[in-house]
Amino acid sequence: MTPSTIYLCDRPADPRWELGSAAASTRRVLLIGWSRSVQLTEAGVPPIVSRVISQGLVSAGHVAFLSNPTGAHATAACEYQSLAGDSWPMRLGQWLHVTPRSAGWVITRDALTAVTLFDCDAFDWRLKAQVALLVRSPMVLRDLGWRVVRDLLGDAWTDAATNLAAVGVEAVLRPGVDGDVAALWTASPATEVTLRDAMAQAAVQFGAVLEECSEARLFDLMCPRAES
Amino acid sequence: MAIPEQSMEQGLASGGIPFAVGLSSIVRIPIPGTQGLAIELTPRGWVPRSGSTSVLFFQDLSGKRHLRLDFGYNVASKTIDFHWNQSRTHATFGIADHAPAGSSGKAAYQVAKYFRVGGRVFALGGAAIDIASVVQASQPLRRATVVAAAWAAAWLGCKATGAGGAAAGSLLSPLGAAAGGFAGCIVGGAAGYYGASALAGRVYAWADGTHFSPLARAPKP
Repeated sequence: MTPSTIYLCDRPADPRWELGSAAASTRRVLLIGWSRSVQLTEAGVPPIVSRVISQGLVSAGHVAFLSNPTGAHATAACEYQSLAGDSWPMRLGQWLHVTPRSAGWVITRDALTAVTLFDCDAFDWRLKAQVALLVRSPMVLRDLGWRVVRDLLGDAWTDAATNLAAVGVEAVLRPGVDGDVAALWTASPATEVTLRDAMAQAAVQFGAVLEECSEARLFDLMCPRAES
Repeated sequence: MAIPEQSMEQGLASGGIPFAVGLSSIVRIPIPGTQGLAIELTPRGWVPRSGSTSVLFFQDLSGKRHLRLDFGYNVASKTIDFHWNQSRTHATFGIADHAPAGSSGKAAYQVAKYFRVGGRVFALGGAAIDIASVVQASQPLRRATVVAAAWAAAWLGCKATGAGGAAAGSLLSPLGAAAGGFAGCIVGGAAGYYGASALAGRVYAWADGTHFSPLARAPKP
């Protein structure tokens, strides 16, 4: 057992993962967890795990995640699509600073840019405030505003994701409890297979191990353990 | 015989106490010697309704370095408990991610959870009382000057004294830093508020060259 073992678990049902409707849903959701060594003192996704996931995503299509224009993501390897308030409560929230005024989608096919989705200060993965989409075309994101973001980060997120499949969203990645797990919804079995294969290849590339496991076993595997 | 300046303020309600108490729930209270960490009750970034349940934060301006007190499922202990989550602050506080916060953490979580909302209500209430006093004052400009100076000094007093309290409390633990920081902020905020109120009233009267007329003595009934 190494600290960089990544576990894939089909259809998580336990509410302790804090994945809302994914728990009760029969939709296509994959839970991604990782072993934690006792030396792992930092919150969030370990670097190797985040690289494997982001590499897997970008190899399957365009990845979009939340950020702001002043973030460190304005590189040549990405586009930025502003996120407009799409209803008067959202616009009021922006005016009152309850909802960020300057926010948008960073769109990229570059793994090094995509990996920053796990460490964005404006939309912190560890605070369950980040969501990433795999889209066929960046044009899809023009119509996705704050309401979609809130829905995708809410309890009924798999329903929201299913509704987005019709406009070209192929997968949704969002954090579970404390950002210690990731939930990956896919629109079709083909996309799921593609992403699994891509992550398996990335795991080999970065020296990690990808394993299937049951949900019950994942609870044990995520407990801190000494590195062997 | 001139009316004492302070009597000009008599009859006008002051929001000093609720404002000073509530201010500590809004202000970033710096913790000296921690490379920019400060005590806050909300995260730096946006959090959705179903997001993190953390209520007490020791964080830098970006929020990337943080220690936060949380309640919920703990993947390390495999139970629902009060625990710490941290990122890049282990060297400062010596607390690992998912370390249980114990009974003192539970108490701090409950206080922070309610004070986050209650404190803002207090601050807004205090501010509303002060604004009403400006409207009611016989010299609204003078009263507005006093209130503005009081608010600014309360903010500064809260930050300065809160930082001292946090520094003293941090010798014990992060919760000690929070307790010291909030207590210092309230004391410093109140001292700043009332000190600046008195001083601003005197300065205004001096600058304005206000002349006060004696009140006519009323016969006893």
